[in-house]
Formats: sequence, structure tokens, C-alpha cells
Amino acid sequence: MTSSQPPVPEQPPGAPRWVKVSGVVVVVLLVVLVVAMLLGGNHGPGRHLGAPSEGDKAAVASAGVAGPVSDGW
Amino acid sequence: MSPPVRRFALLVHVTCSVGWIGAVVAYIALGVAATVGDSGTVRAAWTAMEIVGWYVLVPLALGSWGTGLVMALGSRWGLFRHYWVLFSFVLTTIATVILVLHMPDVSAIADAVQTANDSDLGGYGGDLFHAVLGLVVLVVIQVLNVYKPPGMTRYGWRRSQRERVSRAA
Repeated sequence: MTSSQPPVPEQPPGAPRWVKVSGVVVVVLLVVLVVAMLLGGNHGPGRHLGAPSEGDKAAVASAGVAGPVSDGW
Repeated sequence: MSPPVRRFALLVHVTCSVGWIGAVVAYIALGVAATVGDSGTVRAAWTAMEIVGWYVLVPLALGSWGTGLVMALGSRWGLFRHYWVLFSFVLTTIATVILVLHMPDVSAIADAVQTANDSDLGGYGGDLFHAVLGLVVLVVIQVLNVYKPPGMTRYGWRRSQRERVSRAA
């Protein structure tokens, strides 16, 4: 009795459309993000401060050593 | 994994993942309050955001990431065989890393608003950008996990071919 299974392709299938579209969207968003950070300046907690008080300056300065996100980009 | 263990791992994973989404929604509500509220509300909201962030968001994020890894490696789906699993894992990793790196900023602002002048409070905003963007990412991950769109990676395809050959032998 012969098998009714379809023949197995020798080459792996290409990435589905949703993967390609998602990949493009992610790349575009990353580029926009990087450009925004390069043009936007400070990304840390001090970015919203106008005329901070001494207490604010100390809190912001202490957060500056907490990690890369809190540093001015 | 045996079926009972797999079901338990799934229970923990879904609880952490959906709980993370709920916690982010609550965080956004606090962020809105911090943006539009009076000075007392702003200070209280930022204190609450710091507590929710460190004691709810971060543990749920790490739990979701860890249990997702266990689920992937312990089930037939694998971590690298199917695109929906790979995308979910990468997005969860990015969201978790950004959350953990961002929380010190939240703590700094929560401290700063306690001593800031009332007239300066408006400049601190409500951390809505990170929270809303994070919520979008988490909803995308949930969609991937529920709908499981088809698509096998090259590695997954080669793996399934090897398994097919070994079963036929």
C-alpha cells in the first residue's frame, strides 16, 4: 500500500511572512530609539528636571551610578 | 517533563506572565495619577510606583522569564525550534532587562519628589513612556503564546527531520 503522505522537501522552509514583517518592525523601532536617544540627550531621571533643589540633585546624582540607563546618553 | 510537572510549570508561567501584565496596568494608573494629581497625590503615586516596581514587577518579570525558559526546554516546542517561542523569549528578555535597568531611575525620582518644591513636581512626569511601551510588548508576547503562529526555524526543521528519520528506522 503506497503512502499518501506528501513528499518531504529537502530544503528547510523559509521564514513565514509574520517573522519577516516583525523583524523589519523591530529593526525600525530600534533605529528610531537609538536616533531619539542620540538626539534627545539625557535619558536619566534628571531629564524632566527644570530647576532641581539640592535634594533632587543628590538623588539624581546617586542614581547616576546605578546603571547605564540612568546615565546621560 | 512529565504531564503533571508540565501542567504545574504552565500554571506558574501563566500566573507570572498575566500577573506581570496586570501589574503594569496598575503601574500605568499610578503614573497617570503622578502626572495629573496634586502635590500629595504625585508624591504618593511615585512611592507606590517604586514599591510596585521592585516588589511586584521585577519578581513577576523574572518569574515569567525563568518559567518560560523551563517550559520551552522541557516541552516539545523547544527554545529555538519555533519562531513564536524564540520571539517570545527574546522579547521577554529585553523587557525584563529594561525593567531591571530602569527601576533605579524610578527609585531616584521617588526620592526626589519627596523633597522637591510643589512647583517642580510637574516636571517629573509619570514614567508613562516605559510603562506603556512595556505593556505593548507584553501583549505582543501574550498574542504569540496564545495563537502560536506557525513557522519552524532552520534548526527546528533539521531537528524534526532527524527525529522523523530515527522514528522510521
